[in-house]
Amino acid sequence: MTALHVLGARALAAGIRNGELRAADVITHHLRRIAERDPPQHAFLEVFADQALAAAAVVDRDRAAGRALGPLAGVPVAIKDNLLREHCIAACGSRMLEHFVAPYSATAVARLERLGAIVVGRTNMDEFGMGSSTERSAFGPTPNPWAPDRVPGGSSGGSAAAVASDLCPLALGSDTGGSVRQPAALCGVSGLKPTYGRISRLGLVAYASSLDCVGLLARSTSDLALGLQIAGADDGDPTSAAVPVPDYAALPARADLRGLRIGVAREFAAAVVDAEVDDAVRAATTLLRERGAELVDCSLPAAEHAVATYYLVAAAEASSNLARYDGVRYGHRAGGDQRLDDVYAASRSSGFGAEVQLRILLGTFALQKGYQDQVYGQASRVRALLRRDFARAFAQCDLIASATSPIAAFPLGSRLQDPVAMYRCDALTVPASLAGLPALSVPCGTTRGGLPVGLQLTAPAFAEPLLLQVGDVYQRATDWHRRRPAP
Amino acid sequence: MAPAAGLPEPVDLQALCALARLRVPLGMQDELRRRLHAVLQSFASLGAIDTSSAPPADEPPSLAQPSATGLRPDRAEPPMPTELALANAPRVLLNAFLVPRVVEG
Repeated sequence: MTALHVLGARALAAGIRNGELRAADVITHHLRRIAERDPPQHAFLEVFADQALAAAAVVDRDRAAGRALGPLAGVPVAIKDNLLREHCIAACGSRMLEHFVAPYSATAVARLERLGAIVVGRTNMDEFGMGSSTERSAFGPTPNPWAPDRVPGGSSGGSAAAVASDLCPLALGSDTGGSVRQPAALCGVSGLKPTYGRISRLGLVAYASSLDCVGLLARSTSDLALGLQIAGADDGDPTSAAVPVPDYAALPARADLRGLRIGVAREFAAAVVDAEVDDAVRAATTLLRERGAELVDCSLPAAEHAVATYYLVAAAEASSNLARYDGVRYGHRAGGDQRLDDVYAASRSSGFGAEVQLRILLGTFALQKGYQDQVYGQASRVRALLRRDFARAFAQCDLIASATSPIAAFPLGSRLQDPVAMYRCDALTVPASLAGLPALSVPCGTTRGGLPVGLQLTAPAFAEPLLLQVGDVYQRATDWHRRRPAP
Repeated sequence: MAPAAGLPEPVDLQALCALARLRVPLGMQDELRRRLHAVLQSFASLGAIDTSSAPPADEPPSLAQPSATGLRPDRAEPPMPTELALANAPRVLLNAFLVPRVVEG
């Protein structure tokens, strides 16, 4: 019998629905696996064992009573530490919110649970989503499951490592500038950043509001499609899109890619630093062509400036969003009977980590009087140029293929002292974020050292069905997504 | 942002910290200043880009988001349970937040 942890979300849900599996056994198995493997893996910050077992018992009772089960009934899922779940801590990887108890559930989490999924825990992340390595968590780093001396990517590194280690088949992350796709690529799993507004952001702790998206991680695009059923408009999030939600889980499988034009942007190709990453992505695009797609050259001139643009826009928004953490209204408070300004400064300086403070200062710089138009305004205008570049490119092609990350997983600690080097890791993911476009990362190879490489597919707004279908064609033709790190 | 002329030399860390309500210990200020300056220098070329043809920068982030849901319906809903509302209070007195005293002056 195939071990439960390798079945994937879709097979687990089907097995529970048709009575071949008991939800209680599925959850117990995964909880045991987490207990055995997570202490060194450190993907989870907290495991909700009792709640998960109670939820599994409800699923089994409902099935026994003949009640209809949701499409994700009994499937264990993990949620990133910046997504609220009622009564649970949501610390955002930060000392600032270490004891913050969520007063309500994020819409994404609530919808996932309404579909029957069982939340088994919350996962590690770079503090407030600010990092590309999960080393910026106040609660310690998460090692890469493929190479414990390397990073898993970030900021959703805990969710990516949990899926890669088969601790759960599906996880929620958030993606502001690549925080789902880059760790998915570095951990050898699939990750989807939907169109801005496709999934409600209510209950996702804000980092950069014009960029933040809830995203999904799973081993296969087929499982991502199942999870994407949480999409749709939400009265609680005015930026959620009132666009009809297709039945992603029931999309017809494409036999091949004939009739599809896949763009290869020269600026993306030039940004790849690691030759082995380049080789793997070239092999992947060749396979897409062999499956019938036409590869076409395209150009996104402003993408060359995407990292600078992204970090100025995101930092500016972060400096505003994080102003609420002042030691009075939320979270950590330092100091005793002091002047109010001292309480603010003492609380923020001791509650936030170094990278968060750096980005707040960067954002404050970008928005300060005398520099606002010159810095933030200019970044916003370059962002508009990039959106226009994408619109022009999509007049020539249906999707754009590239590497997800310019490099494979790098050694722990190797970029911590050099923020510019760390920010450059996001060169290939921030363009889609700035344009609000959906993008998918799928495993497409490994380096000679055995580190996973990701292929990124970027699509026009709300073309998630096309992304999932093309990803599925690719994954039916390859086995990269089924490969697992050594136990 | 002009190429390098857009950057204050050196970055006035004290002024930025005051605006951002942060307090950086003396021993860490040089390192933070170095990092901030390195980041800003690496972004300086942004200022040289000709953006005169850029579309309005205030359009929605999505290329084709047809519409948002807008404002939610104005209808009465059950309030948040008191227990949950008080869960993050520093201390609780009856049904109220009890916050530490702050001395102004």
